[in-house]
Amino acid sequence: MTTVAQAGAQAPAAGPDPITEPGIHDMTNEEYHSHRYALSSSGARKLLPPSCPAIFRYEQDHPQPPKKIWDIGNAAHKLVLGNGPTLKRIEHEMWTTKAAKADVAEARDAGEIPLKPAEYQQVHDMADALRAHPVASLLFDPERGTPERSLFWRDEKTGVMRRARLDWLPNPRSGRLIIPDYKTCRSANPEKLQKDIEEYGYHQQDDWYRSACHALGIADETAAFVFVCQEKTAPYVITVIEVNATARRIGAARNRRALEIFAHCTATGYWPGYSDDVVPLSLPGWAETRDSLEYL
Amino acid sequence: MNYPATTDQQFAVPAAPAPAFIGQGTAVEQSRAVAEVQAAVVVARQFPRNEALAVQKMRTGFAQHTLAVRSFFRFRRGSSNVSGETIQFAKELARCWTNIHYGVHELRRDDAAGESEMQAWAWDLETNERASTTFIVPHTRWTKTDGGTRLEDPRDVYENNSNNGARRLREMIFSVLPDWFREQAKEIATNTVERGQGDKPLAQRIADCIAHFEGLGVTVEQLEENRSGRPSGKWTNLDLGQLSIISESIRRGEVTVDEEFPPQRVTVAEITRQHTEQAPAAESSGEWPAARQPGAGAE
Repeated sequence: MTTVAQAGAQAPAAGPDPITEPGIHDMTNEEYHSHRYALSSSGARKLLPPSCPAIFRYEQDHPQPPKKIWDIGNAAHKLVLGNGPTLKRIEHEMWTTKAAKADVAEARDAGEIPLKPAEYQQVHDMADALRAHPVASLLFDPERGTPERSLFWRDEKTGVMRRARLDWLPNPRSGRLIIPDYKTCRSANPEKLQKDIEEYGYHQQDDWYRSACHALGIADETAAFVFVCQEKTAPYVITVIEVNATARRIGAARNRRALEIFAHCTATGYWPGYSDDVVPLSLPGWAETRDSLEYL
Repeated sequence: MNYPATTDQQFAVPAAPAPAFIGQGTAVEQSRAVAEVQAAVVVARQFPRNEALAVQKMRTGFAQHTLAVRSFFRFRRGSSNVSGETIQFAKELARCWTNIHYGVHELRRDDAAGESEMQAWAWDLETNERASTTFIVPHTRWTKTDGGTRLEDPRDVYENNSNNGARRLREMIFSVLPDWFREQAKEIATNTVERGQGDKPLAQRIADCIAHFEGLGVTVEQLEENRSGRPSGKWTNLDLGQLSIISESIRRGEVTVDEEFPPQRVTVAEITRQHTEQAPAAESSGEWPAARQPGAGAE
């Protein structure tokens, strides 16, 4: 969801009326992102190292304009989930000409995702590959779930409002709830994805979204969360992953810490950087070893 | 221990260094300690151990279920399980073998440096075989996330020291005991654990075991997965024995429930089954209950 999340985020002139009651909402991406008093999963990640509360605050107050790099991911989300901004095929291979730039700007102003012809084909091929995948196609079966639902609920311990935008909310069912999330990635090789879990905090998202479903009574503790990861290059290989129990426990602990930081910073109005103290630093371990042997 | 009285003392063993002033109580204790050790050695020689009797005692001891389940530990380190025998196991062995003295001493505590110098030892009085180790216990606790944390509370320091001491003591006891004795005891204890209390039929014990783990939030499916996918109806005494060791380790906090019984994994079979069982929803039934819709006051 993160890719979709940041793309459409535009700062509204004034924030919307705060949601104070827990519930499942149907709203646009922009509207979802304007509820900034509520903490999201990506926000929780921004509060913790390697980022810091100061950066989190700045990014909340200054939403980033759409970046070209997000377009493919967003477009793929739109096609796979069947919800989101319209895709706009820009009939220019290069976007350096004046005419091309005008078309792109026009599409962005209209809230559409501008794509080059090759990219337009690429995202359609990606969606086709996903529909042909034996597991992914079942997880995102349009007849058995709803795309992009926004969940709001209050954290019991800190009283902080939390929010989550589920890529896909499966319909009520007899078995446990298996919530899928769609990710586009450079490589769907499980070894590479392992690093992505850490880098993009998938384990935190896993816990965050399951907490949402748990808090709203949609699911019990047995609910599972799977990531459907698809490569952005042909043949658009797909790997479905589930992070293990240890990672989820760490994710849950990180989320808890982030909520506490958020509650504290909101109460005090102070959003610290990396450290308030003078930080004593050494050389990196490997450099110290190397140079001690050489020079000392 | 008689020395010729006439010769001068130039070849005598020099006296051990001692403090200049010794209080009366200390002096009494010193001579008592010397006498006690001498007496122990003499008595040990006079009443040597009866190995057959020792084995007999050991067999009786480790046939007791309560002792047997406390004989083994199990905890997780990285991606593998570490398991072995507990200090209770070692002490019981020493008791059965007889004529063994053992102990842990805190030789010096340095609160400024934050460490204790300790010694663990075990001594076979009959053979005079003695194993001892002196080691430094830092007053810190190490966690992966926070690194080392200095222990300030005297109680924490005490517990940390006795933990470290107990582990060394266990090794010292093992090193003065014959290997075969220990191996036999291990086998007997394992058998006892596996057999369980033995006064109940297997099916009843399996049901009890499942009920016990239910209290810890572990489902039958998770138990079965832990037992290499064997259905609970086909469990043997061995399975029950392993599960009771796991249960003890969970109780002592050596492993967590999640580590031993990872939550049920999502499989392709489960996804497919859900998909076929779940008919495509009509527009109305696909929605979540009204209570979950915005503004309904859902908690």
